[in-house]
Amino acid sequence: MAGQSNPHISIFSAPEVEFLAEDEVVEIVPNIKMDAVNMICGDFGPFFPQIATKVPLWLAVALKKRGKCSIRPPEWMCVERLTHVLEAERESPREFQPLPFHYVEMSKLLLDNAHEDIPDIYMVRSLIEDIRDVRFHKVETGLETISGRTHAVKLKNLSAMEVNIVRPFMVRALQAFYKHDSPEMIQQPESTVNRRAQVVDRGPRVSPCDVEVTGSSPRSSLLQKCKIRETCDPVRLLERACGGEGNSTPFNVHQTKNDLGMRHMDQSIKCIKCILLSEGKLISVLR
Amino acid sequence: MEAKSDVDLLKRAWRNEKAAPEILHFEAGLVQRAREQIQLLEETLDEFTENRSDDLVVSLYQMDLDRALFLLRSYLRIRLQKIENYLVHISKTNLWNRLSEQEQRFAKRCIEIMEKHLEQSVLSRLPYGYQSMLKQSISSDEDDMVPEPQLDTFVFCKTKSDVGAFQLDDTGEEIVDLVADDLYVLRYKSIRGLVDGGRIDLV
Repeated sequence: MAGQSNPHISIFSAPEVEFLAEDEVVEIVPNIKMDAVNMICGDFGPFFPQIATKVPLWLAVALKKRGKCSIRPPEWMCVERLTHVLEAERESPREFQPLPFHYVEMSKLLLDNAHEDIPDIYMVRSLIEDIRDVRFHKVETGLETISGRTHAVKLKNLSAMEVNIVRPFMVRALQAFYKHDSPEMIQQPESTVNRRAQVVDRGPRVSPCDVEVTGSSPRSSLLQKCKIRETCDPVRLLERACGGEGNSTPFNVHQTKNDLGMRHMDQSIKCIKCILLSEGKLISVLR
Repeated sequence: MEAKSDVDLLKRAWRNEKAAPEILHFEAGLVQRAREQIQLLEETLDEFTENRSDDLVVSLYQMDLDRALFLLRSYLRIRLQKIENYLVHISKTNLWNRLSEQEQRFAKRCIEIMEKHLEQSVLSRLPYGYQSMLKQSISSDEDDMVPEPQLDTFVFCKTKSDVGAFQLDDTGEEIVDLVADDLYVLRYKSIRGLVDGGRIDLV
């Protein structure tokens, strides 16, 4: 039907993101002699024992698995640097520290496949996990600031995997805000009261003939609309069903005062908790 | 700008295609070059197996080949998926010119089959006035049964170089300064020109 689109079409799967990360270049030290290889994705080598050379990550992992080389961990993957990043990450709640775009996937691949090449591997692993947690918490708190007037969100230094995780929710939230804040959705408060009740019953779809653009403040009329729906709001019920205003999860977007609109404007948005529950994948990633 | 290999370019095309709600221009030259390289490598691999070359080298080349093949297939597949979803819309607008020849053939046949199927299974049994595949009823002025891509959606994108102050809406109230190598979430509609011109990458 018109207006609907497949919500999954534009989402990369985690293996696809990893595929992209595997083209990042790392340094290896081969222990064999091998001629240069001329591949579709580039020319690498020749390889001599004990002489470092640069190859894409997938090639490095392939050689490593066969015991033909050791991988030099990238500069940022050492305890010193990561500790520094984690500290900075904690100190500045408003911005993300610069890390490679694929740092999540790269560190996973390297930690899984080249554990003996990374010094202080346990420390490195836990530091990276901490950094991921801190960063994702920032993303979550950042979501609270999205409002109807949000036309653009700038996420400097957010990494590929983080983008992929937050994408479904972020895009749907922004879309809903955009849709409900557009002038076509704002109706005459006085003359269309009866009509509005009907419209509201039908949910977010408003046919163009019901629409009248007025000079009234978008906020006030949206709030009026919200009131009508408050009594039998399915979102409210859902919210109660999954623990009400409880604070058992770290996601507190739906508890803030200034997002009233978010809860009531669109059934399809629900509260973030419900969305995260319904997308079981997401919640497992977050934990 | 640094020189990029065809695989890098294909990767970018694939990413953009996957992230964009509507179908983008078909990268004819790029796909052609990728195909040639893949074919060349396949031939080389055949030679290798005949000459019983080093297993390690062969397996590495094989991996490289598989990666290129995956990229190419996934790119073509995501386009076919979009064509299937927005069949009628694409055929009725100038999006049609964005398809390759083969894709146009595919779309034409797809429409024919779809029309025939709907006609036979449903439409012919409906009362007069409701028998169109494109309109809800004969009184509709426009084709209101045609699925269209949602251009109002938001996309994640990365700027390649400084774009400068960029206007997001028609009225000019919303302006962002797009700085090089930054990540933004923007409305697709407002940046489609930049995507088309290759000044911004979707991620």
